[in-house]
Amino acid sequence: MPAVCRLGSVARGLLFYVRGHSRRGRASAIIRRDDPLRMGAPEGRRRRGAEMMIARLRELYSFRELLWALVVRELKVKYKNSALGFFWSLLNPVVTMLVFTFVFSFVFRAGIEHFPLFFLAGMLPWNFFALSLNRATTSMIENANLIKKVYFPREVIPLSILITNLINFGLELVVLFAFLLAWGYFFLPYLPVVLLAAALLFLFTGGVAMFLSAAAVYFRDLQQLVPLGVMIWFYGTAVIYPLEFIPASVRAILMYGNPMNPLISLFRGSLYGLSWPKWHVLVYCAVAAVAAFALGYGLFARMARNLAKEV
Amino acid sequence: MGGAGGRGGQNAMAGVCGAVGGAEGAGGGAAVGTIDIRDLWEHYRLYHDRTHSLKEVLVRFRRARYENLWALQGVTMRVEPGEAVGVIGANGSGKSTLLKCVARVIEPSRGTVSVRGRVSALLELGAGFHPDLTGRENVFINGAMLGMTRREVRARFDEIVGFSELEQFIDSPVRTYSSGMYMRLGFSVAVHVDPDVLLVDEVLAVGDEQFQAKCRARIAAMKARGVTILFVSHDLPRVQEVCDRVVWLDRGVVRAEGASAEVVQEYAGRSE
Repeated sequence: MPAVCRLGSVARGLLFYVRGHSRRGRASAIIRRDDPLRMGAPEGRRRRGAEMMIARLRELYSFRELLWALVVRELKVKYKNSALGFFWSLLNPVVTMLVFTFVFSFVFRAGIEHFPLFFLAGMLPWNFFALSLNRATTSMIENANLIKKVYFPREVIPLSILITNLINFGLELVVLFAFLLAWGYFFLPYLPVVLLAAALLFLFTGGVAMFLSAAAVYFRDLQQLVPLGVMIWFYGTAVIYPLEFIPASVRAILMYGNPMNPLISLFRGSLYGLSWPKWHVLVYCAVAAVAAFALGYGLFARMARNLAKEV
Repeated sequence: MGGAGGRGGQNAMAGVCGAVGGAEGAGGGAAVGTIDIRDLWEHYRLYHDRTHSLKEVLVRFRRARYENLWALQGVTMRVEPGEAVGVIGANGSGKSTLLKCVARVIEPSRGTVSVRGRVSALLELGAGFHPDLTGRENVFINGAMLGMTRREVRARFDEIVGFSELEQFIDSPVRTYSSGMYMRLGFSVAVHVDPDVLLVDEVLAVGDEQFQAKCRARIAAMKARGVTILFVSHDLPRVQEVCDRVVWLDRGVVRAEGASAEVVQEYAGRSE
C-alpha cells in the first residue's frame, strides 16, 4: 500500500511539471471554467481544441521563413570552419559500423550477410531519432534569450532541429543507396516504402522531441535523463542485431511495445531485406506515429504558453 | 510569397493577442497601428527554493512553493495610430512586462491586448545572432526573427548595412565584432522592419554619440511617417522629446496619464 501511495505522489509531482498552470489543491489537469487566471476569454467564445490547432498551424506557416532561416543557421554552424563539412556527419555512422562489423563478424561470428549494409539500414534512421531527441531536449533552454525577448511560435525551435536532422538523414540515405546498389541490392521498387517510413519516423520523432523540448524547461533533469534513456532505448531496439535474435516469446513485446522496432524494420525490410512490409506493421507504425505527434504537439502547445516566464 | 503587399510574418498574426480567443471584438474595427490594452493583469511566480531536480520531486513530493507576484494589476490604455506614448515608472513597476505583453512574448494572465498591424519590438537587439556566422548571414536570420521575409531583407540589405556603418565587417563572423558593433547591427535590422507599431525598451544607448543621434533621428523619422511608438525608458528628457503622451506606471497600476511634460514633471517630483 505505501508503495502505491508513493507512486501516486510521484505521478502528481511529474504532472506538476508537465502542466503549464498548476495550483495548490487541484489534482486534475483540466482547466476549470471558473479559474480566475483564465477569465480573459468570455465563456461562449472559448475556442475548441481542433480549431486552435488549425489556427496554430496557420500561424506556424506564416513563420516558415524563420523556420527555414534557423535550419540554415543550424546547418551552416555545423559545417562552418570544418574542412570535411558534411562528411563529418557520415563519419559517426561509418565508424560505429566498422566497430560493430568487427564485433559481429569476427568476435561473435553472427553470420549476417553484408553486415555493414544491414547495420546502416537500421542505424541511420536510429541516428535521426536519437540525435533529434537529444538536441531538442536542450534546445529551449539554450535559446532562452530568444524566447524571453522575441515572439514566434515556440515550436519553430524544435522543428528547426528536426528538419536539420532530416536533411542530414536524407543525405546519409543517398550515400547508403549508392552502397546498396554497388553490392547488388536492387531496392528501387521498395523506395516508396522507405519514403513513407521516413515520413512516419519524422512524425514519431517530432512528437517525442517537441514534448521533451518544452518539458525540459519545467523539469530540468530531463537534460541528463534523456541521453540515458535514449541509450537504453537503443539496446531495446533491433538496430545492431536482427530482431530474429530475440527469443520469440519476447519478440512480440519488443516489436509492439517499442514503435521504433517496427519503424526500423520498415527501413531494413525494404533496403536490406528487399521485401514488402506486412500490412499490420505498416498500420501500427502509422497509428503510433500520428498518435505520438498529436499527443506531443498537444502537450507542447499547453506547456509553451508560459515558456517565456519559466525558461 | 509573404502576406499581402510583401509583408509576411508578423503581419499575419497581428490582431488578436491575449487570453485565448478573447479579443476578437476588442481591436476589430480599429485602424492599423492601434494598441488597445484592456484590464491587463500579469503575474509571475516568485519561487521560494525552486525544486528543479528529480530527487527533490521524488523525495519530498511537495509542489514547489511560490507566491504569485502581480506585475500588472489591471492596466487599461489605448494608443492611437501614429501616436508616440511613453511609459515611465520606477524599477519593478511593470513597464517591461507591459511591453512584453504587447509584443506577445508573454501571455496575459487576464485581460486583453490587441495590436493592429505589424509590430517591431526593440526588446532584444541582434536576436538569433550566431557568433560563428558572418554579419551578412546574421542579418537574414535576425530579419526573419523580426518577421521579415528573405526578399524584404534582401531589398533593404544595403540600407541596413549602410545604417550600421559596418560595410567593412559585414562578411566577418559576428564573434569578431565589438559589443558596440554587434548592437549597431542589431539596431539597424530592427529599425528597417518597416513596422506599423514600434516597441522600444531602453535600447537607445547604442554606440557612440554620433550613432545615438542617428538612432534618435531614425525614430523621429518613423514617428513622422505615422508609426505608432510605445516607448519605455528611464531617460526622462528623451521620453519627453519622443512622446506626445506619457503613462506613469506604479506597482502595476496606471498612476498618471497625460501630456508628456506634465506627467514627467509629476513623476520627477514624486514622493515615494
